[in-house]
Formats: sequence, C-alpha cells, structure tokens
Amino acid sequence: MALQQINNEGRTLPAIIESIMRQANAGIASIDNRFNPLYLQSIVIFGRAELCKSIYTGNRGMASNHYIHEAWKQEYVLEYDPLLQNDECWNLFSCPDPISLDDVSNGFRYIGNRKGNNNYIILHSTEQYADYLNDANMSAIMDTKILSLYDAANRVLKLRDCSPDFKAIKNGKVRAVFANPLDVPSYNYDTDIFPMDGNSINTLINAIWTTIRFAAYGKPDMVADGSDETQQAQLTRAITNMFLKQSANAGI
Amino acid sequence: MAVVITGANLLTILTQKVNAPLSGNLTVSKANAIYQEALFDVFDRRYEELQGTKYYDELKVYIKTWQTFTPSAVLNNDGTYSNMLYLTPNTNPNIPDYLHLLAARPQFTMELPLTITNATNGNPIVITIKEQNAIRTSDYQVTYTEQYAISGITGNTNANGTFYVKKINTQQFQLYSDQYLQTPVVGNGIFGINSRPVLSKIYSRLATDYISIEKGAKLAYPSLEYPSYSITSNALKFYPNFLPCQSVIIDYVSNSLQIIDTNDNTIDLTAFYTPKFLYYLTDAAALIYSQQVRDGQLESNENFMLKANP
Repeated sequence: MALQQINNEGRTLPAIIESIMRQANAGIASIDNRFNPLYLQSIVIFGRAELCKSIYTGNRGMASNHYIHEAWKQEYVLEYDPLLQNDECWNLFSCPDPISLDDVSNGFRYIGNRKGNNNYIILHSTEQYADYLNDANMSAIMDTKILSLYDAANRVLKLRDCSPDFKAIKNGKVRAVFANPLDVPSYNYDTDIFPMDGNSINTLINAIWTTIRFAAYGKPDMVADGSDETQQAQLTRAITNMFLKQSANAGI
Repeated sequence: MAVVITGANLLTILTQKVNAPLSGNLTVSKANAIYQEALFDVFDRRYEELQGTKYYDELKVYIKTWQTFTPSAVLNNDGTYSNMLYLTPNTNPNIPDYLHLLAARPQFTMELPLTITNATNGNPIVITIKEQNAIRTSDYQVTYTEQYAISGITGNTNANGTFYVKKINTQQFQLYSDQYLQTPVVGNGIFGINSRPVLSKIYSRLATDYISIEKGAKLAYPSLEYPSYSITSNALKFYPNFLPCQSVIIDYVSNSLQIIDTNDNTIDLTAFYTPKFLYYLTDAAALIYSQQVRDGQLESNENFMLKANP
C-alpha cells in the first residue's frame, strides 16, 4: 500500500514555504512582501542547491563526504523529440540543469539507459570534449563509449554513440540533483516530498528565516558621501556567512 | 434565563452614559444615526482584529463561509480573462451583500501536456498515459486533494468528466467519482480510435492579496499554486488571468446588518449580536456622541471604556 500523503505533507515545498512564513507571524498571510510565497519558493530552491553543495564538499570546518543522500536526487526520463535534433553527431534531449558540486562534479549522478544498468560517460565541458578529440588515445576510448554532454545554454543533454552513426541513442534516464526540482515533470508540487534529506529540511528553513529576519535590521546609508557607513555592508557579509554556517551544520 | 436586549434598552443605557436626561439632546433619530455609524465602525475594527474565537463569535451571524460564486470570464483583447466578481448588486455576477473579504479560493483548470493512449472499459476505468507525469493518488486528508478532468474521449464516454484518481504505476491510474476512492467509475465502451483526449488538473487554492506594487514583479506573479485576488473597479479580480476562473469559494462578512432601532422594544438584538458586543457598541456610540457635542470628559471616559472592555 502506498504511503499516505498526509503523513509527509509537512515535507512538501508548500509546507516548507509556510513554515518560514509562520515563523514571522504565525499565520500564512503577511503584508511584508519578503514573505510572498513565490519569493520564498525561489529562496528555498536556491537554498536547497547551496545546502546540497555544502554537504557534498564540506564547509566551515565540516569534512567533505562526497556523498549525496538518495532523497536529493530526482529521476528524469529522456524522451526523443525529432524536432529538437539539429546536431550532426549528437542526439539532443531536453533536460533540466543540474547544480554544481565542486570543481569536477555537477549534480548529474547517473546518465545512462532506462534500466539503470549502463551508465554513459559524463563529459564536463565542451572544452574537455575538444581536448579529448585531439588526443589519439582518448579519441579511441571515446569511440567505444556512449558520451553525454550537457548544453546549459539550451538546457539540452547531448548523447553520442559512435555506432552506427553517432546518433543511435534514442532514449535514456538521468538521476541528478537538479537546480530546480520543479523542472522535473514527474515532480508533484503538492504531494511529493521536497527532494532533500529529512534532517536538512529544518536547517534550510532556519537558514532562510534567519537570513530574512537579520536583513530586516539593515538600515540604508542615506548620506551621499561615497562610503557605506551603516551596518548594511556588514549585514550582507554576516548574512552570507550565516547561511553558509547554517547550511554546513546540516552535515554534522 | 436568556438576556433580552432591545433597541429601546440600548437607548436607555446610551442616554445615561451621555448624561442626556439633563441635556435632552439625544433624540431617537439621532441615536439611530449614531448607532448605525458605530455599528459599521465596530464591525470594521472587529474585521481588522479577527484573532481568536471571540471576535468571530461577535460577527458570527454575518460571516458567510464556503459561498460559491461564478466570476465573469470574458476573454480580453490581450488574451487574458476578466475573472471579475462584482461587489455591488448592480453589476453581474456579484456578491449582493458583500462588506469585507475573509478568504477566497478561485478554481482553475489547467490542461496538462500529457497524452492519454487508452481508457479501459473496466471497473474502474484505467487511464494510460504516454509520458512521464506527476499524477498522484488522491488523498482526501491533504489540504488540496488531487483532482483531474478528462474530455474528448469517444466510445468510453464515462471516462469524460471530473475525477479523483488512484495511481497504479507511473503511467496508469484508475478513476473514482469520490475523494475517498470508494466509488469507481465504470467504463461504458471501447476507447474510440478517433478520441482527442485532454487531461487537465483542477486547482482550487487559497488566494492572497495581489497588491499593486507587486504587479510586474517576477517573484510575485500569481500562479495556479498561489493564486491571487485584487480589489478593482468595485470587484474582486482573480489571478492568474491567463486562464478563466471557473468558480470561486468565498468567506466574507455580509453587510446585511441588523440595524439598531432605538425606538423598538420588541426585537431581541441578542439574536444578532452578543450582549457584550451590544454594550461595547453603546460605548462606541457614546464616543461618537461625545465628539459631536465636543464633550472632552465624556470622550476620554468612553475611550477608556472601549479599551478596558474590548
């Protein structure tokens, strides 16, 4: 039997947004437009990405673990669209953009066939691909593998299979930490648990609430003397540090 | 024994409060006018401070909940829909007795970019979808239970309509007519090959105020998940307006108030207001009187009374 949605309604994105709003005034309506739900939604989505990166790489004294809990990942099925194909060597599939994790990794954890038992090589950049093409050894290796390369500008995932014409792959599956979970068509906004591990949700809520609350104390410098002599600059730095610190605590 | 308070009783109290027996300044018509002003004034204050059961109790006769209206949904030249519900009785559609808004839940139906490939002639009907999708089993306990609409199916025409669903797998779900998933929808034919099915999701969410300064902001544009209303041209207008608003469920305060007639000694006003509210109203009326006659001592006294007995 499927799990009851009611049991986890508090872990959905709308509930996370409401949790932040309720910290301000114990209600769901506020005249303060920092508590506009759509604004909070964007902050939650950005904050999730930052938190995931903090957990992966380590931050503020926290050791890096290079592990991402399954709950962060979403699955996206690559569907072949003939109208999208305008490349001689690659088959193109629309695909949401992943987050970045460190200097060599992005949010793509698996790109491969639909069964999930054959992963393709994930190239990190077009530049890397060009370098490999010019290297005889790498070029030879590449011709024996299926390659994947993400085109962020067009938000398409490119797949290349050398046999028989570089364009043999017509489907696939991606498991990734996407920058915006709402981009995944199988994500239900109302009922699905927001894709992050259970012990990080409260950290995210507190980090965002603290950030918003702290900013409320800022006073603009109204003196046109070319320098910021109020607390605004310090506040901005403090907010950034606070967010990172709160985020880092998630992994402890 | 239940307390009975008539308009005439209130006039007696008010007369004593403002020391009118000596001045003889307070007539019935003047008292009625003062009470009417005080009544709307206190109603507004109660509306502003709607916190806790007490204030709801005081307005209970006039709070209307879960009232369904159908806004106008005229397609404008710019491709948006009017989605207007008027607040005066002269223009249709309207809320005839509107005083103040408490909550609004507009309903929209959004077509999903999904392809229905089959609707079985079974009990219940099983719908098959080609693409990856976010359809989930309808759970009646959650705030917004999943509800879908299907149209354009020939042959198995019972698959057309509004349904609750039970998900079977990533591409199939069953149709039910009730949110408890107890009454399956039974097929009545073979899925027609000339069907042009359209699957839509029904959204009925609590709307928030779409204030003017937010219009045009990227992070405030109303969505189906977060719809909005604005009060404009003496009407409630519902957003997002790229879709027609099919209906709206509204909680509001009615303006059909029982007016206080201080010449009447038969109508028991406690049928419409709590006794405490009527006494508070009399203090509010005395305050208005004090301002009219420039009686600073009385004004000070009544201000104190209103604060001491909110």
